[in-house]
Amino acid sequence: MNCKQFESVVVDALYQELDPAQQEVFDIHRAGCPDCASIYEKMSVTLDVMSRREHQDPGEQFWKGYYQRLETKMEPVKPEVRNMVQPWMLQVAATVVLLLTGFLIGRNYFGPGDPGVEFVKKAPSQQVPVQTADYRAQQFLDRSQVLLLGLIDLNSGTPDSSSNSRKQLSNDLILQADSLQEELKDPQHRRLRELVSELEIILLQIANLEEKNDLREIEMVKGGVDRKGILLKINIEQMRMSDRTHEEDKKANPHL
Amino acid sequence: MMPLMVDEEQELLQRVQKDETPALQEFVERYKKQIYFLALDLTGNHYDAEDLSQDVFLKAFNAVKKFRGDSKLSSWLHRITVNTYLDERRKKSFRIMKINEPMDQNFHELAITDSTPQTDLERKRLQQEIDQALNSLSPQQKSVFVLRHYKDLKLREIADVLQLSEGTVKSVLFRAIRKLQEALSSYRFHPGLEEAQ
Repeated sequence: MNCKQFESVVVDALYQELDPAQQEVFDIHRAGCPDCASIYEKMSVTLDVMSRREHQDPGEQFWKGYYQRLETKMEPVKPEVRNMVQPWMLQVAATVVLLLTGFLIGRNYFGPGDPGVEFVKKAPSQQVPVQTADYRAQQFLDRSQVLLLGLIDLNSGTPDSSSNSRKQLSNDLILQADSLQEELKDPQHRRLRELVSELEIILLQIANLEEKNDLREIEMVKGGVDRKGILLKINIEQMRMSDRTHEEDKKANPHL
Repeated sequence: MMPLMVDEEQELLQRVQKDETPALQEFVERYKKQIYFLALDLTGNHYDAEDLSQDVFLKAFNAVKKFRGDSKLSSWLHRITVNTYLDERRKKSFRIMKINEPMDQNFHELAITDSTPQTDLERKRLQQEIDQALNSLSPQQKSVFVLRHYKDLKLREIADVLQLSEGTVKSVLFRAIRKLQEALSSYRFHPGLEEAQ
């Protein structure tokens, strides 16, 4: 065996895929050639280091909801609709969503009154059941939104004094998320259900933050919220729910 | 030639091919961890790994009627996973494509561990080094390396999954290991490695 032949079988040798006869020839060359021996040793050390990669399990909650989340993606998307969407339409839609989001945030946080109370007050006489899935989802999203906004406002210069209450709230919301997903099984709630599922994972992250003020961990969570566009999705779902409530109001009382 | 499917697998496949909902769920339950962790090795983060693994099942459901059962179901799913990953990489749709973004923004951070802060920091640093080294590989190199090193597929099995010649797989793997070696060169003198050297 020469050095070129050695190189062509070194991978097989590293993974013990040589037959005994080939292995013997390989070992003889390695013993007599310092260069090839060095190549083999270095590659072997590299593989040892790579074997230390850890595979963390995402946890029982994640696996429990895996099929349910997959099911939501099984609903067919009509190809003709997909083909009709042009890039400029998406840009216009994104602009409109951003404007509406700004409007909604302004109205909810800087306008008069408690938005949660207003939501219930809108149709007191139409006997809209207060405990509908939509209402509970609205409450869940509002509380999650406040929690996430509080987390996002944290920065390295600010002492974090609310980590315990944040974890408590996260735990409460995780419990709600579980039952809420069960209630939102109908197709019209598909996106809402997906959002609740995404929020559940983020809430788990928050609930698992260490007691001390671990800003790196918090940055990881913020990164996840940012990458998944969670706050934007919350706003969109809030608008959808608001629209549904208005439609129900109109149906119940056409004179409004 | 790959080993043929066992009876139980064959029976499950037939039920999935008949679109029986419980069978679809059973199929997912059986393979979800295997496919998720392969996707996690390939994409490097939890969010993309979940998306990728779910795309794999959707593609598998669409294609299962054409699957003749001439390879193991797991090998077939591996093939779909790697091909979907390579397609997505071509479209650059994964979040991890941002240059220099650390790849450990996943459930490494979610897991609760009982280690001390020092060992935890050390562990995280090593994981980050390994992730960055993996990220230095081309998509094809990473696919071959992950299948061989973490999924323990033989070279000929990888050749079958990726539909490449065994010689090509070997050559890609050789280059991948050399590249990892280069990426980990700063780690050579790490105290934990003496035993390996």
